[in-house]
Amino acid sequence: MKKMIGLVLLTVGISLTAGFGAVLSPDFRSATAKAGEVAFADQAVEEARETYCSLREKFKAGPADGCEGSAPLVENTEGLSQLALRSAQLEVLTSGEREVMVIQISQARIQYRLAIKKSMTRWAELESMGTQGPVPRLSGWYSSAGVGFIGGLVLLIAGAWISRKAAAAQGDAEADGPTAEDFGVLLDRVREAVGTLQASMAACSAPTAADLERFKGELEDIQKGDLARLCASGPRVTARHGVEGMASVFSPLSGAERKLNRAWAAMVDKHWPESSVSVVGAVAELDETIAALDAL
Amino acid sequence: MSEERATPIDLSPPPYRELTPAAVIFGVLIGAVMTAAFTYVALKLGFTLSGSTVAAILGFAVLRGALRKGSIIENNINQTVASGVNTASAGVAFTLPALYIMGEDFSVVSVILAAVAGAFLGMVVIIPLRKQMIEFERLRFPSGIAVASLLKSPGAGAQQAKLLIGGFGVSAAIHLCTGLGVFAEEINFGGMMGAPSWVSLSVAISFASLGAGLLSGRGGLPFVFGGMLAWWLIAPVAVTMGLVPGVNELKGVVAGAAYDDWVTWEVLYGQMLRPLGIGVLIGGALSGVVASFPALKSAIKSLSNASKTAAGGSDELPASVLGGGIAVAFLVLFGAAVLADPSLGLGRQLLIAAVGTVWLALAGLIVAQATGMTDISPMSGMSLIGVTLMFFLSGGNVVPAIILGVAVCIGIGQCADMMGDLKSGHLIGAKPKRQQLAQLMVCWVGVPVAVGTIVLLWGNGGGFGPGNPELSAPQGTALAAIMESLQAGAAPLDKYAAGGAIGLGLGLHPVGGLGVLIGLAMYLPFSITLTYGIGCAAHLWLQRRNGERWMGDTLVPVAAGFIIGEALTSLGVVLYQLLAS
Repeated sequence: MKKMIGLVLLTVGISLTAGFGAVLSPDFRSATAKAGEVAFADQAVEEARETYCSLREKFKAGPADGCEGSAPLVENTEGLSQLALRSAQLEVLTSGEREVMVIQISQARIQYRLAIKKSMTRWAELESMGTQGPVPRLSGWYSSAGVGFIGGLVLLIAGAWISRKAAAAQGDAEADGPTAEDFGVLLDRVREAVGTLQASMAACSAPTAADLERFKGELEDIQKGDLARLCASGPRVTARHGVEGMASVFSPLSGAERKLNRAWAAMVDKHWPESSVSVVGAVAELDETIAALDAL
Repeated sequence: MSEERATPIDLSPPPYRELTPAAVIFGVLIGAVMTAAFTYVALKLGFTLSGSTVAAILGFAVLRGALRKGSIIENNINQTVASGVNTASAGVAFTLPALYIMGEDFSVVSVILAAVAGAFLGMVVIIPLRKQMIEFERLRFPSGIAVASLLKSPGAGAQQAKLLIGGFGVSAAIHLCTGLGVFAEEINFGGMMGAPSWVSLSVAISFASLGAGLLSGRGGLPFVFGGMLAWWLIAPVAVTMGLVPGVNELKGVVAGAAYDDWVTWEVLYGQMLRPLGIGVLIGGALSGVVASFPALKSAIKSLSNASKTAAGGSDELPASVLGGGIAVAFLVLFGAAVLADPSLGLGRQLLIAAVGTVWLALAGLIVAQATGMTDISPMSGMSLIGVTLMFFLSGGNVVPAIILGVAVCIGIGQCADMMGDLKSGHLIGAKPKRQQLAQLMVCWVGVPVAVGTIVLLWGNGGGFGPGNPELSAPQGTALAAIMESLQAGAAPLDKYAAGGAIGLGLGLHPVGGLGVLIGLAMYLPFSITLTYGIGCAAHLWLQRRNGERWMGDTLVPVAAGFIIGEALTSLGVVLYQLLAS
């Protein structure tokens, strides 16, 4: 029940905080709308340019105004603001209107010029709005969405806290429950299996490739069986013994796991001494794990 | 065959091959070639590729094939070295071009110094986190598992090799088709049903994302939840409740797909969800550090114990490497700040070096954690915050901001790469100390290669950038635009602050890394998250149906094949695109 309450509060809390957190400050929202107008106006300029250029090409009017590989309307754009660039483009296009052209091209040119003019107006409006700095943006956002955000944050924190308490209680119940397998029992079983493997390897005075294959199979059984379950039980150990306790146990346990992985790799590479040393090292680390668990 | 099996094996062979000159030299060679090539690719296409898989396969071919003496673990060192060298390509290609594009005067020496400091710093700050992320939290690192599956394939048995190759084949074939334009890169179910683009119902056709989800399982579900929250709740509510500019408010704009796309990508994603996601990532990582402080303390204690153990007796690098490395990298970073702009003043230069060091450590932790949980790296977002921080600390000076940004970008790339390689190493039993030593020796090598490539390509000016359609440097251009907006005074502080508070709150939840997962989901387009989520759901269903052992024996090689197939085919597709252009 507690877990469910925690989950519901957390879900509502995240939704509210993320929703209110995403709200734009009023001034920034206005600037964004204006930036949108500018983007669409610029897109219209590009479309008008394409139409104009394609008609010039169709009616073989010759290269000009940035069409058919001619120089762009404004060549040196360095240091120019968008507004100044549009203004310069408009000037070039207007001054070239004495060119004699078929009616379709003239109309397309007028449309192109109008599109640039409209874009210029939008850029002028955007530039006059200025940029809202980080702090005014923060205070603007807070004044429009702060209360909802804080409410959501309270729910989120409450949900997370209740979930934490419920998880700790559940961890204890699972660890003590009738179906639970004790971590220590599982650890002893892994220690015994690895010890047996070590003894078998030590007893093999002239190992063959077939022996290596057999030992590799036995090792894989340990790795994919009890050892995998043992290594996956970190959250349960944390719930029972805390993060520090888990770390003290998992540090040597992970070392043992890595040494067994190394033994496997050495077996594949047919390197008997390395695989034997690694299994011996794993046994030592497992003994250290047992000692660390006993100390908790 | 049976005779071979009955033959006694050599009981006193030469020492087991691990950190050998062959592995290091070959790794450096592959890494340097990949760095130059991938830097060019990043300028051309705006993304780069991970070198681990390519290096592992080449390692097989050369160390085990041609030289006939490589061990599984030696190949891991070779792959660690190669990918460690290659991390410089992304770090440099995403940041440095902005300085050229903006026409700034700067010293290339200070860029190299900062980048080398970043590479070492990234390496050393990740040392104590290995235990925390790989041994305690047991993060999945899907690409690390995929590389380990590849390295283990000689001994994994015929059945698993077939599954790996099968997964590889399917993924490669599909990715080839999407890369060459035979299929679309995503299936837009929303579009088919006539839904606007802000109701995201697209699934990316990416077997790498699917494979990462298949390997992550239950642990990846909060990531999917975060994506659903962002794109199925916040986005539609924001549009329908008028939180974004409506079409009627925009002069000269009519309702339609163009408006929907603008609202979706420029406003909802660009101004709301992405910056909020970055804030949640940072808050989530900070609270994660606090929550896992006892485990981190234990990891550092273990490093201190390594210092006390007789030389060579421990598998860990001693704590002195961590402390000394941070001190040296800080000094070099300070030197780079001095060279970048001598007029900044000593106090500000020291502050830049100190904040850069701390930010690099935190961003490295975030990127490593996100990669460990989902295989997706928020590197560009973290670098952006780094550059923004440096911009404000340097009093609005672009040159030191970007130069220090190069260091941060390379450093966090090193963190994620090293951690993925350490995960592969753990799974095959490599000694972390030797992997870390190998990468420490070579992590600087990629820097001059990547910087040199950029300098050469720029030539006498205009060699890349927005005015050059052949080499448009998309990431550098984007960073230049962001710097210009910062110069104009814009920064989404409200979103970072709100996101940071959400991330900190989520740190109280018992599921570790919840803030990082939810933040990452907000930071990404939903199509990738959804494909990953399908993988997570399939994992849970298959686990219930077939049991844990089946997952290890069957699902892991198939999913690894998916990831490797897409990674290698990406390389092929990029080469094809470069040749075709």
